[in-house]
Amino acid sequence: MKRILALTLSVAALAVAVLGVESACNNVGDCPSASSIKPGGSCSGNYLECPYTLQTPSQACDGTSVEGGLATSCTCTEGTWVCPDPVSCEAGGTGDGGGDGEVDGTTDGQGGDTATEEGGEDSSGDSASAETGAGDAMGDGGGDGAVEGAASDSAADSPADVTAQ
Amino acid sequence: MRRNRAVHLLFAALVGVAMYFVALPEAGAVPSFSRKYHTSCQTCHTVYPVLNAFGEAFRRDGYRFPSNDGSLDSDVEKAAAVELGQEQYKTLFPAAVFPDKITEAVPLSVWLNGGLAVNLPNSAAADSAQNTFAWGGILAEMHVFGAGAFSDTVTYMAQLTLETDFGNPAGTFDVETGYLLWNDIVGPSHLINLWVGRLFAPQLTSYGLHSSYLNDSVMPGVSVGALYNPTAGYTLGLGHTDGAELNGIAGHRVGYSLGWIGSSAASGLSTPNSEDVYAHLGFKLGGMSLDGEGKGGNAPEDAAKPWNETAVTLDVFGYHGISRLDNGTGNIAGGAATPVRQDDRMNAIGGLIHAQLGGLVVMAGVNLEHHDRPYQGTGAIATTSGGVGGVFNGVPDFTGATAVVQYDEIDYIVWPWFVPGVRAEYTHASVEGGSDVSLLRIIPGIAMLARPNIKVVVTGDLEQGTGVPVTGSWGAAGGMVAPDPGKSKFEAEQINAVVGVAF
Repeated sequence: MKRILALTLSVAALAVAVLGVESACNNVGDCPSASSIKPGGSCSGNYLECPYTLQTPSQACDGTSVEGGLATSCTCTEGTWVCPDPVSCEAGGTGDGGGDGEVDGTTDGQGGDTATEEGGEDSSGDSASAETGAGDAMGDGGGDGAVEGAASDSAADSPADVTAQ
Repeated sequence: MRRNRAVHLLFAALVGVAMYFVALPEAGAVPSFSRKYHTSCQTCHTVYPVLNAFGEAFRRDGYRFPSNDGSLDSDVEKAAAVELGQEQYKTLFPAAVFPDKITEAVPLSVWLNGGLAVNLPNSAAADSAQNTFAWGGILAEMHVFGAGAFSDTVTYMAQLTLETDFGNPAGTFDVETGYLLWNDIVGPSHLINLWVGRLFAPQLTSYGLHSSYLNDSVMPGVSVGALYNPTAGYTLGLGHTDGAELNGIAGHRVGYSLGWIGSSAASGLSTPNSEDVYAHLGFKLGGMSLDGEGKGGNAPEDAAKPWNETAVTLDVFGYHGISRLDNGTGNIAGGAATPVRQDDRMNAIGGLIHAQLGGLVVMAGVNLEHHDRPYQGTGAIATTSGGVGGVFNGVPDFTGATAVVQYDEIDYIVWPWFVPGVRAEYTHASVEGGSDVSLLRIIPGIAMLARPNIKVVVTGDLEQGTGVPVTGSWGAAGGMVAPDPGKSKFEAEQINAVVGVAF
């Protein structure tokens, strides 16, 4: 009786272990090519982070307007690609144009690409312009626009506290 | 002149260490198993924690004395026990709780550990420590063990470790080990055993974790993942891991283990599904059998030198695991660091040859370890521009990496309390887009017992480094030498004394 019970328990334990190991495999996933990733598109492999090139729709006031796009990454979250948002002036600029734009962001100067953007034509009527790159950017446009950028946790949102004078 | 002074300092330090231990009074107590069986440490150990052939058989048998002519473990147990239930309950099972027993006295024992280092002049070790010798560290940690048997088939082992300010990590305590061993589940003795809990270590060879006289473990403490990513912490074959292991010995000479244990995660990241699995097969030719039973039993070849035998043991293993790493794409240079997970799958194979000719012990092993994505990617990018400042994650790097870890050790048991030897550890690692890097450590030393339960191990550390891993140092392979990138450098780093007192 004892042996039968021991045998039954050991076989059951082995079966549970085999099933457990099989079901415990983590879904690591492989990355598709950067060009095939569509923000909001479907994906598999939860939390899989894959290379992605962020293109800017608005070169005038978007810090991502480096040549060829900004090399960053998207994360597969609950079956959907979550990617950093390109920033358009519509989302940010409420300045009245014409003055100096001052940006106080969380830059640390990495990258070294200094893109100078002349504002105006793409920016919802505001004419704030800025120099981006290593450190604070001083706008050389018409109005005074002070912008404080908040360091955000990457993937999607780029919260900003934009004030205009 | 400075060199002479350093040599004098070194000599004084070694003499000091030796005198300290020679002058200690004999301890009046011995650890859990000695108490249980009323026997000396020397029954199972030479210079503890290294086990002799009988001790290894005792360990493999699930902390039970190898049987002589059908004897049970309880037949040789001397400590008084309290029965938890009548013997007759066994016949009533499952209508009654299956009985077992506990020892009358709580089966605790203590092991104090420490280490002292002489950092040799003009070495990276001296540069790092900024001293030549300091007493700090002579007491680094205290282990409290509880071990024994609930019955002739169910045994247990637990280990609580308290780290002093010189421990690692300093000032912490941890239940490092705690597992139940259900032995002889079905079939012939020792064929099928199930060990569950926080295991002492995954059994990838036929030998215990601490089978080296000159190193903490026979398998080197090389964390291959950490050569590529500073957030990696897993080290193959080491560590106290949660899980279950099915193991056994067939025909007294063939051993196996099949394990399923927890997978690791870097700080700040969630724990992945437990995916680590391994399999090991070993075969011992000559000497005492793996379980200390069968032909020849557990009698030593030479009763006057019971630590001697003539035997060769071959082991092979395979391992698959996963580590959840921080790939660094959320780190801003000089700023905030947001862990971003990257699962690194690892596959390894390896083997060990353990040979003994009388008192001469030779070990040679190799591990080949491949990681599919251990590298960190580029750091996050902070942008500011006319409108918004934002942080954009960097780009992950999914390059794979391969490393070979090879180790050898030759020891000679002159007396059971005096074992000189030399050990070599070689680590060779691939580097993305560059030349491979390697580290060779030569560790000569002597393991000594001042008393059966008081030990001193003195070792040297000579290192030859060629290049450095992508993390910038050989720390993950136990090395300190710091050659310039792409260059080779040989350096004598340290003389170490490891001290231990068990009671």
